[in-house]
Amino acid sequence: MTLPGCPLPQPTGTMLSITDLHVSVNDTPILKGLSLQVPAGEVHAIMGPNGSGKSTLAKVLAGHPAYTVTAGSAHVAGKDLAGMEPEARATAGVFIGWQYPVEVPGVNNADFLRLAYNAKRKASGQGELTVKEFTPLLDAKLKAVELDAGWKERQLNAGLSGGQKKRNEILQMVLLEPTLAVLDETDSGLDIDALKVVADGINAYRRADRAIVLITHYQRLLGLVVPDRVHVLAGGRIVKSGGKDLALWLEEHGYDDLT
Amino acid sequence: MNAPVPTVSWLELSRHALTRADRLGLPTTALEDWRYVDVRPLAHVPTAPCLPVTAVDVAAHRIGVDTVVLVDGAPREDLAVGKPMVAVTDLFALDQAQTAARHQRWLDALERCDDVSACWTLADLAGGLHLAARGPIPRPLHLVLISTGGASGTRLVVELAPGAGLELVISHVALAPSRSSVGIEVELGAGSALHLDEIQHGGDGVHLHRHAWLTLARDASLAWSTAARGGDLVRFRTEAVLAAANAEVTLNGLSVLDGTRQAHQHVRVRHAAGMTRSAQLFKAIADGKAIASFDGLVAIAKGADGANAAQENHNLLLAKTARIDTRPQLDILADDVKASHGATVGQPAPDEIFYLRSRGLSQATALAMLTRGFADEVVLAMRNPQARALAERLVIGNLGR
Repeated sequence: MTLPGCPLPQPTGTMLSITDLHVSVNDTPILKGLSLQVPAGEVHAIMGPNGSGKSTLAKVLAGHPAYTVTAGSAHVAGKDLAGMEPEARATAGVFIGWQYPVEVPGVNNADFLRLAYNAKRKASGQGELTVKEFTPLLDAKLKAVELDAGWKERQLNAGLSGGQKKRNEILQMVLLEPTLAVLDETDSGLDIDALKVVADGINAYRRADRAIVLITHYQRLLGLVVPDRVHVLAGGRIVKSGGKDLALWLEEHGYDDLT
Repeated sequence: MNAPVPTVSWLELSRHALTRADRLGLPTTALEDWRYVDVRPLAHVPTAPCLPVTAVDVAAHRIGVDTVVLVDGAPREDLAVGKPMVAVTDLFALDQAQTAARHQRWLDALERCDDVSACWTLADLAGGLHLAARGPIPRPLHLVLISTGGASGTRLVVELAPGAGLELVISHVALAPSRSSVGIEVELGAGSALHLDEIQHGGDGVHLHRHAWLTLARDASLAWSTAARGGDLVRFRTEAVLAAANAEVTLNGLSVLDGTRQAHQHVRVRHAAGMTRSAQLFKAIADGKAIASFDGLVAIAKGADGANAAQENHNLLLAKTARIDTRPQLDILADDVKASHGATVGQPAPDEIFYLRSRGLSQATALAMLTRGFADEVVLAMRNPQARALAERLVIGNLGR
């Protein structure tokens, strides 16, 4: 059902466009000519052996200062990421679900989430929300990812299990509503129930005007979040792309034949 | 029948203290207890004329509980709010029977005193209070110590009878450049419990020398948290003696410094008896050209088996021009104890800053939020919620909110 005045979002072309991207860390090349196109409305999975550059891709999209782009380009919704600070990328709609979310003791979840949410509103010319205005919104998002209200008063990722941290990342994603979400091994460290919650969160997040990139080692997440395309990243480049069945093939045959 | 103790008058005490202070002279960094302090401001004792203090000045520091105000050491009944449930007596109004032994003890202590700022609490003595709790006191009491200029000394004596309980908040407020020397004696009877939250708020030209002498009897407990903004020279010296089994002291401190402010924590905890516990958590945040230090010693006496001591000092340097020194020390003479200590001085972790920035927070906001998070641990340990709010307003400011 479509409510009057609320038309469904329409696909808006290519959400992520990476062309011949070369990235180094401490002068060591990691990505060596990576190219990738992710249209709006699609979910793409990136798989690949350890050390192939998957997490590097996530970090460089986020603007991590330790990673240097030596050639090539990355655009999100037509916007060139070159020269953009990490916070500018975030407020422009780039979200990375980190493989190892950092523990930030002393920082209250609710305070952090409100500041992050308001940063995005401010960047888009909207007024900031007060605590009173923000709380019901956060409560709804907590419910969506099956977290209790006590979560708000916890310290950001401090003392959480790996699975709880991943769930916190999904909470941030559904709250901040990025146009591009890159989820780096969000499925690792999750038990079956938590994986289901996270997968539900990702599926609910799918929309025609958003794109999702899942970086994963395993088929099990892709059984719950069915990708439109699967890419194999090896040696710093995409070496093979295919449909969802490619993940099943990889599970059976491994990467040896492709690298 | 015991022979009466000869009385030493306040004036004599003050004169002795002055003599002792003169003999000691101004401290230098050659003295072990002052080695981390920038002692140069000591040469410039503020001489600003004393200001009139009104209820308006006090209002900014009130936290909505019973309040007793001392201005430059002297109790000011006209500025008090509410009626304290603890017995509060002007030190100068105590009768001879109450003061004779105490004055003699102070006189003896002066002879041994090797810290000139401790002498100042008597040399500059302008007044003080004696607080006595005979049982559990259901309402917190707020002591507002205001300095308005020049040098003044204040003495507070807090006595809790066996089984008594008290929640105390102390604010140090400087309305003008001044040197305030505050001596606080705490004597906790068996099974008594004191929670004390202390907030220091001042600015340029502010000198505060706060000395605390704490004695805990069997089963007594004390939790003392201090939040400070520093000044030209702010120094907290705390000496605690756990005199009998099951005595427990928790000492927390936070200094948030910028500009050329300095604040120093000097802590001595002595486990004189076995089965005693102490915990310390001191933190400092220094920006600009600020200076902070922690010099802490936990001494566990011979035979004090079963003692448990933990001492932590963590510091955040926000500028290369700021300075933080730390010296955690343990001196253990007993065989069977648990004792730990640790200290860190560092900058905000780059991976934490990046994580926050990757969610849209600016570098400055991320830094402020991390700094606040670092400080919060101590502020949240404060017992009184209104004191906590005051510390958040006056000490932490708007960091990260």
